[in-house]
Amino acid sequence: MMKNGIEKITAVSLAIGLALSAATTTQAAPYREYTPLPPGGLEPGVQNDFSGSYKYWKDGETVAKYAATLPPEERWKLNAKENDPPVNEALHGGHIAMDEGEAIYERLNANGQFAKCLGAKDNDLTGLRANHYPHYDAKLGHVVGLEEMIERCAAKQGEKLLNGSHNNSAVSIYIASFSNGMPLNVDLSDPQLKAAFERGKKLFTQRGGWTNFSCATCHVSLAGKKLRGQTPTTPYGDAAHWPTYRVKDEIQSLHVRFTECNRNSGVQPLKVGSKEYTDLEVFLSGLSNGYPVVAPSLRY
Amino acid sequence: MKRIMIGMAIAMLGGEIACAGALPDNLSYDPSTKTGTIWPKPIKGSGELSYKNHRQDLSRWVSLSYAETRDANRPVTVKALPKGKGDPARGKKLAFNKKKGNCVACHRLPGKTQFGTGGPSLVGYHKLGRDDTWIYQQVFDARVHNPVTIMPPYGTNKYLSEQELLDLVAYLKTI
Ligand code: HEC
Ligand code: HEC
Repeated sequence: MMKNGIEKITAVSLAIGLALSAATTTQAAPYREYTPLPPGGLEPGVQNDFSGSYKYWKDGETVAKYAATLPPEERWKLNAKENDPPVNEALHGGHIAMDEGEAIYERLNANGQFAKCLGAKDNDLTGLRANHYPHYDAKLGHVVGLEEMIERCAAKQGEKLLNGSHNNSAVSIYIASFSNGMPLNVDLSDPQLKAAFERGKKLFTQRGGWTNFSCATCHVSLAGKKLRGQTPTTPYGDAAHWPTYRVKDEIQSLHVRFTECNRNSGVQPLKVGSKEYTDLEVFLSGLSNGYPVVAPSLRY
Repeated sequence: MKRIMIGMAIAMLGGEIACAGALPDNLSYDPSTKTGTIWPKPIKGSGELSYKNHRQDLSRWVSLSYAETRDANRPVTVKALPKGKGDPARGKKLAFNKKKGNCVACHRLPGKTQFGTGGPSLVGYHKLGRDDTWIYQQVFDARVHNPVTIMPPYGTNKYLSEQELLDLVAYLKTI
């Protein structure tokens, strides 16, 4: 057994060595598989939803109407919007986080530099979330989401607010509340954002992990199908309400959500704030274009 | 002793991969932890993140990282059934176990009220009369039958062992 084990190690290391040298010498793109796009593709704007569910969640009034009438097996068509106002007006952990976010924001912005760093004019946060994020930051030379900028701008004020942390998300929810009801408006005529959108779309359909699943395996192929206890829904309209209050009692950012979906599907998660997750954020935000920002929101 | 040796072998192997730089640096991964794969958990009232270990090391399979240079596993055709005899009782357990086959996430199976609808119902499956090699191939790597299948390649990706796959085939013939 001992001998056998060691032989195995050598064989495997050899194989790895060979694979590595092959990768470094040829530089060919590694072998990947992709989930086919749905009919009509994955084009930006909520109205382009492929799942046929948009007409159930297109606005609050419609959600309220169908929330009261849809049978259990069709409730996935609400795209979880029944958890937001006007159907759900209850107070929840998201409201508490929003208040915490306000206090942190006021402290960080005592000299007005925090708001300026985030891109607000004259300390006015109105529309910042809906119209300014995610965007291409010329100084940084890459696309940034709101939570990445909150971390960067807080650091300049001497406070650590890691992307994905509770306090970072709390500030993000507070800032988003100044865009409440305003349609998400990611400017895909900007070539940098458009490129990030396209990279994100490719990643969304790229298979990985032991399951060989892509995001699209669940959110396209299995949208509306039962996956044991859960029902994955359309990726359209998924980005205008983050960070959100998860009822497992966690204030969760979109990137942290990605790590959850990754590990639930047997795919190695990436770091919060990675370029890949930011590209996915741009892609999902593009698919939410035209849908109003909700802050605070709640998800199961 | 046997256990320890295998553990050491895996640990050494893990170390080797990390040293060789095969793992991208933007994985949510910490080789000093039990399984390596970690995920972030926000801490109430804090600007820091805490991390938890996933139950297994997911870096063994390709991630979505742009720095991932490894090939994903290509479809594998099964030439012949491996030696051994499947045990339907073990197969049933594997099919229901969330951490193993979890077949019931997509398939209706007898005796389960909560099942998935992503794949066809397998209730009464023996009536289809598929031969063992065909069924083994489907579970080993369904891509050989359908290139765009959503069913995981349990054998090719070494998620289940040959014996476990034989157990599943034996189980499927009884339902
Ligand atoms: C194993 C299936 C599965 C895979 C693969 C998967 N997800 Fe999910 N995801 C779910 C389920 C189930 C939910 C909860 C129901 C819903 O909102 O769709 C969810 C929820 C989400 C949400 C929250 C939606 C909301 O309304 O708040 C986002 C965003 C998301 N997933 C993104 C992704 C991304 C990006 C990937 C790929 C990295 C991915 N998912 C891969 C199953 C999956
Ligand atoms: C993510 C969903 C999913 C999971 C998990 C899954 N399957 Fe499947 N399975 C499918 C789909 C979809 C098909 C239809 C054929 C195809 O596309 O490959 C299928 C087909 C099959 C068939 C072929 C039926 C026929 O036509 O003869 C068998 C047998 C089968 N699955 C067994 C299993 C077993 C055993 C497991 C667990 C080890 C499992 N499946 C897990 C989705 C799944």
